[in-house]
Amino acid sequence: MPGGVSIGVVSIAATAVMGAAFVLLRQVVAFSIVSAAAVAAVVAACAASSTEPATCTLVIAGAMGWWTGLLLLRAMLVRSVSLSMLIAAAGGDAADPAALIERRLDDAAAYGLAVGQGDRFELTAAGRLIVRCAAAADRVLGRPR
Amino acid sequence: MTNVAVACAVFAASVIVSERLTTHKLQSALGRVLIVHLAGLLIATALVRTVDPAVLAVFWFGSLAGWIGVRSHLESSILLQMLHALDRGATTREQVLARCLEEYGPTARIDELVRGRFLARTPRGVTPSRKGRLAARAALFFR
Repeated sequence: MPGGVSIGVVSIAATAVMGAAFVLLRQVVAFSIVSAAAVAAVVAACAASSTEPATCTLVIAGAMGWWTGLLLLRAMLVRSVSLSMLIAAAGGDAADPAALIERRLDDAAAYGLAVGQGDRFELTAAGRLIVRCAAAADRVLGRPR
Repeated sequence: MTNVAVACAVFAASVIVSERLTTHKLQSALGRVLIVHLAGLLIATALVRTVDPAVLAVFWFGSLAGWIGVRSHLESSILLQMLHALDRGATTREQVLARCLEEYGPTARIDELVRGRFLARTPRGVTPSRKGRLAARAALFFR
């Protein structure tokens, strides 16, 4: 590496930047832009050095996993019904759980996973694909649904 | 690339062991899952000596963060439950909501929070435990 900085240091710095962005930036788009830049820095550091392909594969996979995990954690923090109930029980401010659950059906339509005609809903091709993937994952994990 | 294969194999083994320890929801067994993965990381570090331990740690914790996120969504996402309800023949808003509220509604969620020791049942009703108050404070901070 130029300047003697190892790929390990670069990748730890990249994950630290993503962690800081997670705390400081509440918007998903802004967080993702910073995270994409951090992953790109890791890729560039790999390309600019004589690092082994195995090491590059591990750090890039780790950085991508960190980005994905933090994105999903943000989704959970904002949308989790159980967490909202816990916050309400702890004296914070939270919405009615039944209302939160009902809102998800409109989200399914907004995300193109289901189509609604009046009061009736049906899955789109994307919605069916997600159901199949989730069912396959459940089978692998041995979870009944 | 043997190093990558070994690291992935040990990570997969850690996932399998932690799955065995997760009897209900992942959030209820997070401490045990972390202990298993720390042990897995130590084993991987011992097996893959030619890779910088910092690189292995980045790979491990990144993959673990991604896995926990995906796993939690698979078991808890209400949106996913609704898609399953639609796939099983529910067609109207009332049918979908009735199925989701029955299987994943407030009662089931309170039971799970009690099982995870985030809430405790007391004579005065359900109250948050110390762990629950800490989790709620952390969630409000990071939200």
